[in-house]
Amino acid sequence: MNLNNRFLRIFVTESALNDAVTGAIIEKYPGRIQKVVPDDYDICEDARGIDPKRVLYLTHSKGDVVKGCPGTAESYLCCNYQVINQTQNCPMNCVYCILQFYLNQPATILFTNFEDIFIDLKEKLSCQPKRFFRIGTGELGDSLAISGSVFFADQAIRTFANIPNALLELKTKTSEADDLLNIPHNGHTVLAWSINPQEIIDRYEFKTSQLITRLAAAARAGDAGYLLAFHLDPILAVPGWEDLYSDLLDELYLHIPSERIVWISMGSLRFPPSMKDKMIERYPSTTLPFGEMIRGMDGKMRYARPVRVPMYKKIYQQLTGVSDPPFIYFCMESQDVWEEVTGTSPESNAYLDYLFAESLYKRFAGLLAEKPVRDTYERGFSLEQIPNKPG
Amino acid sequence: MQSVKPVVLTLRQINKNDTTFDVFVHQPVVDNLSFLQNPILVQPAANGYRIVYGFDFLQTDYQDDDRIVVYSIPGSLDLLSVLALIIKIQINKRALYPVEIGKLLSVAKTYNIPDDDILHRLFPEIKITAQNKLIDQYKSTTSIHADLREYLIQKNAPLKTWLSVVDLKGPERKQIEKFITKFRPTLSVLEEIMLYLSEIKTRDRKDLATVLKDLNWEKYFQAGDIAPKDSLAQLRTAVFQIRYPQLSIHKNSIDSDIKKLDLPNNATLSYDESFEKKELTLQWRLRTTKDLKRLQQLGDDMTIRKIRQIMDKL
Repeated sequence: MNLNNRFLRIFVTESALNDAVTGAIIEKYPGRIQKVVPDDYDICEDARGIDPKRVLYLTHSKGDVVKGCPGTAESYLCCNYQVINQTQNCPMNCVYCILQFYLNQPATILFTNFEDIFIDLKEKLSCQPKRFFRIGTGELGDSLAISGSVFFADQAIRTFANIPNALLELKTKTSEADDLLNIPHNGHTVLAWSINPQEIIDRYEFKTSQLITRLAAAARAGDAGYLLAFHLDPILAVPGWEDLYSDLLDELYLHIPSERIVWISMGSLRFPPSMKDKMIERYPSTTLPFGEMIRGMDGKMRYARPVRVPMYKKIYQQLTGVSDPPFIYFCMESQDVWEEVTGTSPESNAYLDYLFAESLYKRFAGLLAEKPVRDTYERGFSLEQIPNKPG
Repeated sequence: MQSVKPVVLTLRQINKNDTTFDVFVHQPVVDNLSFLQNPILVQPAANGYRIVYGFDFLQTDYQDDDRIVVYSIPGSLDLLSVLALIIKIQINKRALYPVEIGKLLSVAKTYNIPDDDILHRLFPEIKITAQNKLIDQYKSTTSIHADLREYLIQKNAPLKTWLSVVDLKGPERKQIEKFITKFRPTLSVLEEIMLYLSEIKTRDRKDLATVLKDLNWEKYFQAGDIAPKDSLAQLRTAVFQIRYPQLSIHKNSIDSDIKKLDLPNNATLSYDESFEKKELTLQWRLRTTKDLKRLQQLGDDMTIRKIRQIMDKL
């Protein structure tokens, strides 16, 4: 699925104009209206009335692009994931996606100063050399949906191949990973797919790839030696979810051997209360906001625990019912939910972070240079935080 | 405004039938002193003067030959400026009700005032954000029946609630009117019922008549021996059960288990109704030795086991 033709207008700031990648990106959009603007130029007026998903803005980053995932309130466990926000916004239309409401910007932003980002990344990682990081580009956009993201992914894979204490995760709902297969990744990149049953994709994930093509792309990536991950997020409480998710997992393990999967996340639908009305306005016929949702301890709407835990339990049992099951974790869930579903719960975010490293160490020989030590993770800090210098 | 002048007129000189600007909710005129707080503004028009502000006074029993002090604005003042002026006066007293804004905008539209002028001259006076869609939304609130309108005003309902009433088709609106007349609910209860009914309709792809039938809606309006407050509580539970079926089953099961504990009246065992916190809260008021003995009895193995089971079930 080529999503490049979604863009109607392209703005390039003067600072981005001379970046090697800028020309390559622009070449992908022949015939589109392009405008070079000063770095401090406000494009709001030019882009007025156009869906931000259809406006591309190439520029240099200001502030931290490499940083900790914001996660959610302390009442729910988060995994101390780190992110590279090189791409901000996504050309696909998932009904439940928070980005269409969360990103208050008139365009899809791509930072083209790759070198600066990689220098910053390496500096930050070197501050905590004993800790093994998971770092993803799919937090504020899809990692592979548009050319500028794929160009970044290409260079990021090469860069991470030489970073001993980190794994790059490229997360997507496309099947566009083939251009990456021959890049020397050195086992330090995880190609990850967000998956849902095809019926849910049809109803709620517009302009994304079909399930079967995502899984086929994942299988090809696995054959090319990439580590793989999957994200069952958001899990939706739709009628017949038991069979839908059961079939999905059968399909998953049919295509992908569990031993190639580094981790699988589970998370149920959640969104800020203010998004409910916006979702109804944007997708008037959707029934998604009318599930049995309550306001969680972080203020977000989420399925009530008696609704989501049975879903998690069923999915978890199936996911772990294979030999060498992947590391399974929850995104933004409470300790109570962890315990109910898995029988145990990490004591803290840092401990969960450590459990990832421990799992990788045990399951993928040679990936980590040495056995992870829990204390390193307990004392760890987000990449954007500057450590106090002694003395 | 310098061009506003006090004048003395007889009521005969005022055209009481011209109600173009009769847009604000009338306040009862208690006595003549009310005029001190509620000035009457008039404007020269054909056949004398028309009232542009202060229609409340029409409720008084003044006679046609009685002379009153009013403030006259120039006849040349255009309609948009008049509207802006009366908004300014009224908003100094209190925020406008959505239906009042709706009436103001209807007057503007009737006299072909362009939307741009409405947005940039009137909206700032009303202190609302200039958005085109709001013009039609506010105007639509004027279609609400007087009784329902009175209720929404009395409850100081926000625009969103007014609009959810506007969205109701004729028969549906009648049911809500019936609900309000019978139960006089708080605004939050009305909003809850309307929201849940609307969400059930959309979720289950049913019309309201079918949803109400599924609910056995009429049952709650039959007098019987049940107090309206209890009927309302039962109705809310019934609506909740359809809107949140799984949650209701879980809640009922926990409630039933707590009831079986047979706690004394001075003790309550409660839980987080969102079920996010898996914990129970025990409140026990202790006043007598008997209370203390009951508390001691709670510690027996059987009761503790039952409470443990409830905690697990939570």
